[in-house]
Amino acid sequence: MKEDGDSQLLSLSQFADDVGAGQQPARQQETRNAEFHGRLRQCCVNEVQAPELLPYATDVVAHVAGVVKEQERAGQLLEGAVTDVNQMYMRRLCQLDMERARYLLQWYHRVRTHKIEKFFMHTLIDERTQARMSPQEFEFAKQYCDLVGEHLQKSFLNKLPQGRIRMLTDREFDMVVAPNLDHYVAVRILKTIGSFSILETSAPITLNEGDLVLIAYRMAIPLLTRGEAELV
Amino acid sequence: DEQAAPSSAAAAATGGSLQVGTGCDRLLSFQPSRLSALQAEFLAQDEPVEVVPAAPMREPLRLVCGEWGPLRAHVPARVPLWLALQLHASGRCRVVPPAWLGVQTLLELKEDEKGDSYSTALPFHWYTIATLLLRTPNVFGQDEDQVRQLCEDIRVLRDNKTLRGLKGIRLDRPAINLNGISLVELNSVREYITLAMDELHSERQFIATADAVARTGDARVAFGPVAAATPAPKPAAQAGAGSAGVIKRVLRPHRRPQPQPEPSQPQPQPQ
Repeated sequence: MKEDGDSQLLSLSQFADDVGAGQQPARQQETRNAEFHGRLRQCCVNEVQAPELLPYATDVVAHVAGVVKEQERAGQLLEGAVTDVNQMYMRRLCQLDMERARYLLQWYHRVRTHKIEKFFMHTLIDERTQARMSPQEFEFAKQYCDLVGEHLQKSFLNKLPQGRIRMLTDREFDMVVAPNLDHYVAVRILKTIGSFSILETSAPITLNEGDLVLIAYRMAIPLLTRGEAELV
Repeated sequence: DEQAAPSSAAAAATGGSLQVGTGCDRLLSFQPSRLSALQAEFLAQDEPVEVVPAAPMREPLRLVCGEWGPLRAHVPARVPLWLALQLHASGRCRVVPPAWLGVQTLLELKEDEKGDSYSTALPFHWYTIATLLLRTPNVFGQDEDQVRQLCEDIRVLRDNKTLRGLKGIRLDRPAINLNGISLVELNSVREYITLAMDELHSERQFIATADAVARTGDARVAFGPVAAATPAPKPAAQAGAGSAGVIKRVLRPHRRPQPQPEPSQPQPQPQ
């Protein structure tokens, strides 16, 4: 049954609906887009709230960046070809959405870069953190370390008595600033866990789905890794 | 580790909350690792909201965040809040306030909020959604003033509850239950509450170590159970000669040929 109000442009989606052939993969693609967008949003929040660098979400970033590029390319192809007011308005909405997606990508990378800069020594010493960075981030961390070393050397280290320059990295006095894994974070529980022990010296707490608790990040790491909780 | 390098580690732990100066606060306190109010609003604008289209849009809107539509005239549809506000502003759709934002429901919620715990009927982004919709003309009609007043009343009641709950931060409570709190309320107390809990956590660890030292009579227990058994290793930077070599080795650890001796961790790894 045809809808009334004909448009001069034959919409590809209408054609696909009539034929019925390409409908299923297109729907799946849109569902996947929504899913990855939601995951990127949660990655941003996780990265903001977690004290340490989290594993780089390669698949999520690649997917969302890919969709944004496709939309940009489609937009450039339609540049000048669209004259209908409604079509122009829809293009404007698409542009707004692309700006939002680009903001999410930039936010994610900005927070990670900030953490790498803040803990650059720890990042380059700790193998676990190195494994969590993307290749570009690792390159950035190395270059940042070189720059800071050069700056410190030129600004005052070359004026100090040479025998006194030492970087202490032993247990009693560690000059390498590491992230505080005991920092308290707000965690939303996604699956009912039941009794959860926080400290050996205190009573266990009950965690049900939908609960929001403030616990030390170190205690929440196993829950976050298993996907039973998310940071808020 | 926390007590060893107090100023830098503490500053890093609390996210650099030691702020200086008055005029340059915004510049010096640039901290991407904090959720700002605008970012909270950005996150809230992805929440789905109902709209009633005035005219049909035959093509669905294929966006990066998913597919919305096609919108049929006078048939309610769910779209993200930011999209709903755009469509409402252009006159193509009318935003329908969510069920919890009606006068009757808000009156009931206000009664609920007079209890001890937060009402869980309000969604996580309730205040942001309410503020944005109240700012938009022609959404509520005659009820707008009443809805605005009720939202403020509920906000005051919940804020009082938050402030009262802060008194519940004690040394013997390693976790706090925040069921029903919203993002705006959480952000307003997050810095204080996490700082307080961090300090109490350090205090608890200090007390536990002091107890262990008192029990065993060995001061090296303070650095972990393994430390008590083995002698402390020499600092890695003492190997080799020459200050330039030391700086190069220390400040460019990624080029170090030998692996650094791993100090034993005082706390057990959770994984």
